[in-house]
Amino acid sequence: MNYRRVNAIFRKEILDTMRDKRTLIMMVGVPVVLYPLLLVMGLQAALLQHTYLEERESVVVLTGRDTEILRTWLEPISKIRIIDSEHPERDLMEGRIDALVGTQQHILEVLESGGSVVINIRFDNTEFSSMDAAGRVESALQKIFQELRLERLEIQNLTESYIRPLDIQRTNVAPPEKTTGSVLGLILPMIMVLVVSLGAFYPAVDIIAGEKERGTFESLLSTPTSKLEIVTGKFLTVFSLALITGMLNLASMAATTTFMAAQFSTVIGDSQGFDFRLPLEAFYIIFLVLIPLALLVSAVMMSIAVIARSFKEAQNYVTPFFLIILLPAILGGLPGTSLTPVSSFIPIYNIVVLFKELMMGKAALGDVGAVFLSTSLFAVLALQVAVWLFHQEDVVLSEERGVPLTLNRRKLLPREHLTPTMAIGLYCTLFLGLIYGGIFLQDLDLTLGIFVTQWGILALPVLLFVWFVKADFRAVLSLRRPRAGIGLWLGAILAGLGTIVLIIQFGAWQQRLIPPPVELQELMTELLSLGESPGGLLVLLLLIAVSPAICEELLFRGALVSGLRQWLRPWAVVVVVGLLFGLFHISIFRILPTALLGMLLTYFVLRSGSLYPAILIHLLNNGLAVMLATGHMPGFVFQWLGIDPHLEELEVIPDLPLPALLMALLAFVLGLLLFERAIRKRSGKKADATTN
Amino acid sequence: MLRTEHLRREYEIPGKAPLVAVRDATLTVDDGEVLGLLGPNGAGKTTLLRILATIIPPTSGDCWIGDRHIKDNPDHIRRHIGFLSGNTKLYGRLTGAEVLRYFGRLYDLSTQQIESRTEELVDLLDMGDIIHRRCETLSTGQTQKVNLARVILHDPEVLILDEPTAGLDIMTSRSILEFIQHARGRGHSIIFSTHYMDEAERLCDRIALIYSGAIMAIGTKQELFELTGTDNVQDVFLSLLDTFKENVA
Repeated sequence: MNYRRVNAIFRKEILDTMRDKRTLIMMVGVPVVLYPLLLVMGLQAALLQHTYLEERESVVVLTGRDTEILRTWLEPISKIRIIDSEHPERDLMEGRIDALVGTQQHILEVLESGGSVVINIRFDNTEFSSMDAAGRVESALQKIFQELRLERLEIQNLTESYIRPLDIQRTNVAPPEKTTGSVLGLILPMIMVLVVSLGAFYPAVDIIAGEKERGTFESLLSTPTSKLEIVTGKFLTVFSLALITGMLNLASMAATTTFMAAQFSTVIGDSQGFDFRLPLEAFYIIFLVLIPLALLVSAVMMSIAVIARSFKEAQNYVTPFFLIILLPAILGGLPGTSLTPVSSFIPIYNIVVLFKELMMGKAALGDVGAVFLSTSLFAVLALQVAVWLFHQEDVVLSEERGVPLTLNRRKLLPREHLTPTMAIGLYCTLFLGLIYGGIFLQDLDLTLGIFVTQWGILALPVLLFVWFVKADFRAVLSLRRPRAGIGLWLGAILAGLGTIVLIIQFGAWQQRLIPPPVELQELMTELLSLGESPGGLLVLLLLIAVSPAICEELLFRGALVSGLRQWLRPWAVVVVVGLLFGLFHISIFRILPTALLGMLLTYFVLRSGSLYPAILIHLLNNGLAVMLATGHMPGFVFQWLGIDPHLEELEVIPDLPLPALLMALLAFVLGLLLFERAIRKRSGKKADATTN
Repeated sequence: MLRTEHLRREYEIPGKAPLVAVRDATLTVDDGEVLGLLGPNGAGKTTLLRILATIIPPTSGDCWIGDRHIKDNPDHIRRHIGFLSGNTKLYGRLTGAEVLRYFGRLYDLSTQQIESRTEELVDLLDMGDIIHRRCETLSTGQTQKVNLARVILHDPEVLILDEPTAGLDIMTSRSILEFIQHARGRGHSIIFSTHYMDEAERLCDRIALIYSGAIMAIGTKQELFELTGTDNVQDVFLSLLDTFKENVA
């Protein structure tokens, strides 16, 4: 990839978009001007209304019997004006008066007899002024009620507490930030999702569908710029603009809500105990959450824009998209939703819930990580779709004909390697398959779940994919003999054994740093309990050693290496495939050790040109781990490693003895040297043969 | 130099036989030569030019720009060709100079190279008063001039021009044709499509007559006259068309 060209496209698109009034209005005008203006104006109107109602006199008509007594009770109250009316009911309905107050009883007689006077307040609950008047009258009568009750108690020589045996008090323990967060958390995330989507929509459509409409795509395609460079440059533009729109909105929301809070506290807060504080630190984290949101939405918008032939057509396509994202956004905003291991992986929903939890200050770091991971995966997948669509000639040059989204294998030409797009797309798809299918299956039945995940979710789709794209199985999956002989195997085994020991030590350090949760320990205990019988041990080895050694290697060191080596330098392939391998194990407690192992295995495959050494070392690593964890190893091994064979699974692993560590390190270095020597020797022989 | 051998391009149509847009196209354009691709709308001119510009791949056949095959190294090929597609517009919100700078960067030219080349082209195409105007304010003719400047910015060996004068007024058409003559004088190989017979007759060293995806005949004006026993390109085309239809029938 030529980054200068990507940069040129990015700069041009930013310049072009910044001169587009539509985008500027959506990106800057709405959040910076319109949005605060509407909120502030709405607030001002509400405050004005509030002040007006506060200041306004309530006009009340007294009806029924003993109106004079009622008058003496209500007349001293300020802002209640009592008038007479010929047709009180009609006047109330027509809004000329605010409330009717009356009783059908003789007040004094009832009071003297110790009875209770029924006083009726009639009001119109569709009118604020009428509701206000009812409130004022009720509060005035409550005072009279209190006085009369005290009089009665005095006569009976009783105290007020006598008739109030329980004094129930409610205390809100939620800090003001949480209260505010719970309210804003319901609305803001949904607005953010929509605003970021709109922020991505206009630039995406303008720079892709617009380019088709202008007929400039062909000019672009006739330059040395590759389609991947074009998509990357354009994607960076859309992503940046969506992010800026989101940030501007967020900043605007923060400023506006703070302003509103200040206004409310001044006018209402002190008198009614209203406390409105924004959890400012949540905003910093929300900025971070905006990144995966903008990534996902921009990537999806890019795909939509590629399919569309014009701006208008893109608008038609995007309406269903808005409806689709609105549903999880609304569901996520509902009270009572929270992030669970499953919901953390539902796109859009997870972001909305995370927003909400951050606003309430109760999101855990793991939740943030899970949301980031899954959203990024979906984003990469959506971007792969955009790249794939870009390679569809009919899509890019579509004029009259429709968009062929059919996958017709007959049209494909045989190929020797996978493209980076294919490899990354395959990885993301299988990762999502693992999350949605594998974890669910393993929850139902652990043993069967692992087996189906390995063979059905990993190996089979990889093989089917390689077949579908007419790729050469032997070349893509490196299913051939290594480039060297026995030295290579010895070196790989030696380096592999060293790595296994080093990984155990690494696990010990990590366990101390981030202790694994009890659930994971229980899961492992359940799994390893299989190994108590000889038959069970065999099943366990098949599940944890043999299956991953074949299935995971086919995906990572086979398909993924085949695609990424077309794009990255060998050392970068080693690092990237290793990290993707670590990430695939989902658990934060396994990412680093598995990533290190993944890097070593990738190195073996790249250098030897064969998948078999990687399969062997993977098998050795997992097999030895099972044997160690189930105690099926000779005593001297445990002694050498300083591990108690009767140690409960995954209890705190002690540091390995220094001699063991040094020997492992030595084995690792020697193994690598041996491996390299064998490879170079074979290369030298080949070169000699060619020269001769 | 540009050379093709037996180029064929098919489009799959679900449930029907494939549509052949270009069949067995074999031609050569030498350095300093203008080859006119003459044919009615839908004859396959644009598809053929798109294949030459590496925008779409051929279903079969070969094509070389200089001594390089287009399949072997499309990136390299694209540095040596300049392609003007039919009815191409420009980025409306950018100025002509900004468009040239953008494409210059995509061709990996340095800022200095872009600037000096832009100056040359502004003089050549008389764009002094339009180069700093936004493209959305330019007329069709002015747009086409900026487009031509974009096509030749990186000084390609081969120019592939798809109906460069379509929809232009007489004055602008003339300046575009003068530009093509100028490029021929500088040794560029030029292939351009048109459905204007007089334009082809006046400007081209050789003419390829294309119909229904097939090149019916290719040669100098004189060779084509002799082949068909006529004395103008229009009659040549009609005569060849009759023969072609008889052969197909």
